[in-house]
Amino acid sequence: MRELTMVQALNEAMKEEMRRDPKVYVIGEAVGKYAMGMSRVTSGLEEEFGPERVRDTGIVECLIGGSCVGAALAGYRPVADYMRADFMFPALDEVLVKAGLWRHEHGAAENMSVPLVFRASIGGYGGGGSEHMRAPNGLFMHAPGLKIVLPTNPYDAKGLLKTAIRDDNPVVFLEHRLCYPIKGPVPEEEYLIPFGVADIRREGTDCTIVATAYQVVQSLQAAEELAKEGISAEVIDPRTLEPLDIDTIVASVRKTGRCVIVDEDYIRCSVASEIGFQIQEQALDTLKAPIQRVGNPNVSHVTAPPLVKAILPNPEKIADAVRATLRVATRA
Amino acid sequence: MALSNELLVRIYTDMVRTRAIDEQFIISNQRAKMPTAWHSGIGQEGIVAVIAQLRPDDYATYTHRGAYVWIGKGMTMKEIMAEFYGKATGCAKGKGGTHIARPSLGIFGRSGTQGGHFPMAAGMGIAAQMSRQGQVVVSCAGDGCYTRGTVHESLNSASVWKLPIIWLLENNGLSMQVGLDKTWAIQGDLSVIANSYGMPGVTVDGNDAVAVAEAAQELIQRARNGEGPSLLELKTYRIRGHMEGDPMTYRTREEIDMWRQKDPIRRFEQYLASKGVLAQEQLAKITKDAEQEAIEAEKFADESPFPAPEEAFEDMYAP
Repeated sequence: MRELTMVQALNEAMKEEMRRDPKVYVIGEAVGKYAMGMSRVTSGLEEEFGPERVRDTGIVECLIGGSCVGAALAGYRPVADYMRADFMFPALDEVLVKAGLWRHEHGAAENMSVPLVFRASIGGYGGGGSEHMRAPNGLFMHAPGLKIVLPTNPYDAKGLLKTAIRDDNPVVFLEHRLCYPIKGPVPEEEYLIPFGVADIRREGTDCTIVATAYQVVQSLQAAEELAKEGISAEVIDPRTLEPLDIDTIVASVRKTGRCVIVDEDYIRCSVASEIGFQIQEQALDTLKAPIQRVGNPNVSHVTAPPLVKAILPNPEKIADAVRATLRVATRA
Repeated sequence: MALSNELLVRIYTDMVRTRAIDEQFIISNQRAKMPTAWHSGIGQEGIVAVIAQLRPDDYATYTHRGAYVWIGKGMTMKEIMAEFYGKATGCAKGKGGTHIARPSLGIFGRSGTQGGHFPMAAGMGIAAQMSRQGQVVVSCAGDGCYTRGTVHESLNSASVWKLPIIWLLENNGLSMQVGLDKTWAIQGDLSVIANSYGMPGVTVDGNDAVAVAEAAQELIQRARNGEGPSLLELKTYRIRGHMEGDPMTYRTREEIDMWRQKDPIRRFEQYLASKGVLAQEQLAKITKDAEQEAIEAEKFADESPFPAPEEAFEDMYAP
């Protein structure tokens, strides 16, 4: 099968959906002909679909988010490119409240819906500093009404983005910047990936690692290291946080009796906190050790590489957390 | 184009109906019948002269003072009043309260954050432009909302894209209890801000329904023709407080009485009678009918059931 990068797979999904449905349009800063940086996902779209369906904007985060909600209510399917999830922060009223709550707060009058996608890159491990490198996954999971997608490979990215565009609800689609260059097989024929179906990326028997976005890649590396010590880790990628496939996660924890949750966001009130809580609600009787969380210990995303290493998850920290659940001494 | 008698009658009728439901809400508020607050728009009904000219498939947004939009766009008093009462028969099944919606009439709802609707109106403008049906958007907000940053983002982008939007500015001189002298660096006509966005800005006496209707007719037609957005400032006055219960210590009784003399409905009545559009008895009948409609709407709201508790868990996601 041919191989694409995640950027190429996302670009292909955009093109296919825009060809299929004239109600789909793109809006964001530098999404058109001169698309650069993160927005390479939208390259070639203006040439094919024109400036009305590929709308370059100024620095107008509130306009981007709010206009998507307004157009969605009026029957369109906007896909906004926010570049970085950090840039949604000036528009949290639009992203969390207008998109997330509008349908419910208006009693779904005449079955109104808000079909839109807010795309944004997440993730650190670079020198962009604390307002470019965050992964605010928990913020979106906290907000009712949104669906949240975190693809980790080209195949999932394409199938999930196509599903997101067709979904009748607001979807926050978070692409980790270190996943963009990852290559993988993507079939030529059309396919969709349903929301709410976790992917067991590696099977194991001693400990379950639930990881989001790029942390799936690092957790697989950690599992490889642990295997050399005779520790068998199972790695689960939930793929979507809302809906969350808690059943697959709980079934795995019931099998292993141990769990580590890895998410790049601040640990406090995080995706890891929420999933951990749901696990204890459903499988406390089978837990052989406290659940471990690996993430940012509630500090700003610093710049110097040694400091970045100190605050963010890596395979060593993930492996140590697994060892902790097994009460195996960490390796110095 | 001259305003047809049919349009003038429609405007007058909906101004009177807007006043009638407003007065009914004041009574309901005094009797503590609603879980919601009431923000009266009495004195500002001239806005109906804009809204009543819209097609059913045009879009209109509103703020906390929205009766002129709901009534002018064609909603029934019953579905509005029942919603404010939190009843299952309301347009949003009792979930919305002040969040009134009727999508089939181009009313998608209310932003609780003031000025939060500006970007949304721009999005409706994008939809209208892409649909090629000649639809327009009227975005209503006061001088208070117009100090939000969302205004700059939305007016600028709408003008870049030539979106079919009339940015209505209800200038009643007050942001809640705070006057223009503290909220705006410029005084006088606020419509001058339109120049900065490369769109026409027009200021008219908001209590003169005929002047409002004429100005709006031209700007609506301009938007339908694909010539882009405009800003229409209506200079008006809020007779009652920001919301019921506001002690109004920030202004004098004399000032309020002076504006009562400029009541937009009384002024419009004089015009209609002098032009022979409506006779005194016809004017009186329209008023009586509106008051009766409001009384019946209140009775309907009062007697309607609350939603079942389970209703709170419905509608979060579209199927």
